[in-house]
Amino acid sequence: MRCNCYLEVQNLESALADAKTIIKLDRTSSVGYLLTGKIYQLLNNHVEAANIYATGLRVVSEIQHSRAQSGHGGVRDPLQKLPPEVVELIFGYMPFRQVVQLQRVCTSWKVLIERCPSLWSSLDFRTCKRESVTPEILQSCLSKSRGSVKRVYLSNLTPLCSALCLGIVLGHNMPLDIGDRISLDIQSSSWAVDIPFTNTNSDAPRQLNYLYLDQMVGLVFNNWTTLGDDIWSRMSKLTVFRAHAKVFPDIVEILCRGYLRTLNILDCYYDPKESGRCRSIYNINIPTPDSPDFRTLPELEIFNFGGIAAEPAGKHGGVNGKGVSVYVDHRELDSFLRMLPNLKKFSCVDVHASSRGPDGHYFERTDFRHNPALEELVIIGTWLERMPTLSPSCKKLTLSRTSLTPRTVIHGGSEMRYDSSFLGEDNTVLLDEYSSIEELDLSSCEMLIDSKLIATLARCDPSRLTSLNLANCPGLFFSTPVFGAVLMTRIVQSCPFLRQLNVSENSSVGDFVLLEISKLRYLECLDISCTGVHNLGVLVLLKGLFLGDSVEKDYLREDSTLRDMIEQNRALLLGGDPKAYPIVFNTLFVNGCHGISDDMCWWIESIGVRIECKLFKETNRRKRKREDT
Amino acid sequence: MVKLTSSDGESFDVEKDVAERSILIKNMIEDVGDDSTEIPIPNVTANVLKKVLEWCEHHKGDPAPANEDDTDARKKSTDIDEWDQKFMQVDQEMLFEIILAANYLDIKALLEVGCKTVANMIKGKTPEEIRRTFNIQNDFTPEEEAQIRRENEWAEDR
Repeated sequence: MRCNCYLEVQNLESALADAKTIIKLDRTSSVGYLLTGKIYQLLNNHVEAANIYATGLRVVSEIQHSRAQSGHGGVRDPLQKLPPEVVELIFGYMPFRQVVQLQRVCTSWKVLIERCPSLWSSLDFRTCKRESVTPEILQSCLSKSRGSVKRVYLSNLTPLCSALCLGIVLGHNMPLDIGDRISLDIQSSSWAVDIPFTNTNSDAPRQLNYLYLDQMVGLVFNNWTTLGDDIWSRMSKLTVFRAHAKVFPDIVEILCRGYLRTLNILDCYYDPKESGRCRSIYNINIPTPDSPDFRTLPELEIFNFGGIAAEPAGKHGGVNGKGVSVYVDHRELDSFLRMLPNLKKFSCVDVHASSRGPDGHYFERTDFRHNPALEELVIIGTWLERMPTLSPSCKKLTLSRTSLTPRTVIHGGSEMRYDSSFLGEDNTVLLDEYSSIEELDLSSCEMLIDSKLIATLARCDPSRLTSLNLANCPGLFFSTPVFGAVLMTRIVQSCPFLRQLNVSENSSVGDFVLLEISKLRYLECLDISCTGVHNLGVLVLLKGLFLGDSVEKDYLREDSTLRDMIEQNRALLLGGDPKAYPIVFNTLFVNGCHGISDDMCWWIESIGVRIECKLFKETNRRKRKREDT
Repeated sequence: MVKLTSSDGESFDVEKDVAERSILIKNMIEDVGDDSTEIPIPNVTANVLKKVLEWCEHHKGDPAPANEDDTDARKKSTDIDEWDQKFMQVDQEMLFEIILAANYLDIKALLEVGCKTVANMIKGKTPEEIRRTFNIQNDFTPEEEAQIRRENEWAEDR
């Protein structure tokens, strides 16, 4: 105060001395510095004044800072009073995402959370914003957990990010440790990935679906082949999805370990600008097998190779957008299949082969006789010129959505020309090996015509063939004016032991066809959905199936007399001579058949045949309602 | 009956099975082997001890807590039963004193209830709201704060 008085009377020297005393007395007070500086200014000693101000600012701010620290450290934050293990317990009740947010509260919380691995043991990214989680974040979270991670939840992430994160989780620490400690739960709307690693229940089938989205991801997964045998031995299925073709050697290496039961290769591509690396899975030098388990893969599926890519090529190729789907080369496929003698099931969906030379190496030239264990061959949506050559073990053959036409279809405008071999006149095309087929699926084969079908069936063993699917074959049943009955007669003649028959979605199938079908004495299940059948035809069918020729043909009314007769005979069929009728017709699909009335459906149900009819179910419900009210 | 003495010298006569909700006291009684001796509780003041004993009284018949290996989901639940909720309606200082006492006296269930109560106070709040709730000073420099915010942006609410 005295200092201020001196100032008032302009006794600057005394004022300065007093001001300095104030600083000495209380170093933390800003008053002293301010006064001293002011006096120096009045004395025109500006340099000194600036110095004093600067010192003052520094000292005061330092002191205030340390005060603030001690203040909050001791008294203000109530959680600081608690022992760290109790705070850990409190934070343990928080969702993972908020624990992360709590780091922003203050330094002591941040330090506490960072140094507490148990708070990072369950990494749950499921409620995070899409696009916001990056692999770096996962990495930093994993490092904070210091090996205590028990569970990682990765859903609602972008597929790319999920794939990268999967790679990190797998690559984190030693592979052996992963199998023991981490279970991974990845779900997303666009693709479903099963949990590859769980440490409990060793009997459960395991799957590992790898997602490759572009080259970058492929690089992340470069270490997947280093996973130990104990992990692969628990893996039953590998799905490679949208992979760059450069991972194919890795796939083969995994195959050679002999543990995989199922391999799916979907939607793969390669970059034509890259030279050297393989363009297809088959173009690989097969390593010499070390173990006797080699070549044990029983199931292989290839989906959407070559031809039309599932997405525009630009999306595949990553940076330069020049990715191209991998084509299957006939010769390469041959050599690849040859290394899989235990293959039981081979599916090939939307695969397009490349042609080479004048001859062309189309897919169907592949000789499956090198796969003696092959039981099921599925070819869907592929350009097929000929029927494939099968091994005698093959029981199920599906050739759905295959063109089954020669390459040149159109000649001189709209006229169609069929290759002679296609018509079944060439014995080299249809081989005797077809005699092993039990289930034949030729649905949606646009160009399949009557003569071709008959020729094919003639190659089958009638006593073996029990299931035939001819759904949606617009080329069939047109050969005669009487609604394809002639074709049906021939089908019945060549395979009289059919148990399941599907002729749905053929508008030309009518009542006359049903009359022929009624002669199939072993028929259990028939699908005539979306065909032009009527009540009368169905009645003829059921009468034929249940009563044979014992009742005169013109007795055709769905009344109780016929029902009684059928019931009687049905009981006879079921309980009587099992050799004559070992199987009884039991299921009829008539979805979308407008020619069949509700009453007919009621009646069919009343004789004990399961009827599948969407129209009927709807009216059925309405009828019941009416009866109730 | 057991006689407990708080840090500020007040004595409480408590039934033995009520006092033995505290593992610490239970062990002490076992060690001493004599029910009649006074047990000093040096870390807990009278008003807090009174509150804790009230809780023990209410929960004296509770079955033993389930094993540690609870599922993740159950462990994360912050559901508190109605009586405990009312019991925990105290000022913040008292709440933390109770937690400290429960920790010291080794009363697991009470500690859990206390931690859940605090967790519920934190849950769903922004850092700023949490600072206000507990009167915590934000001691980050603006640069530090911006950096932490950037690092943890992914965990923010959408």
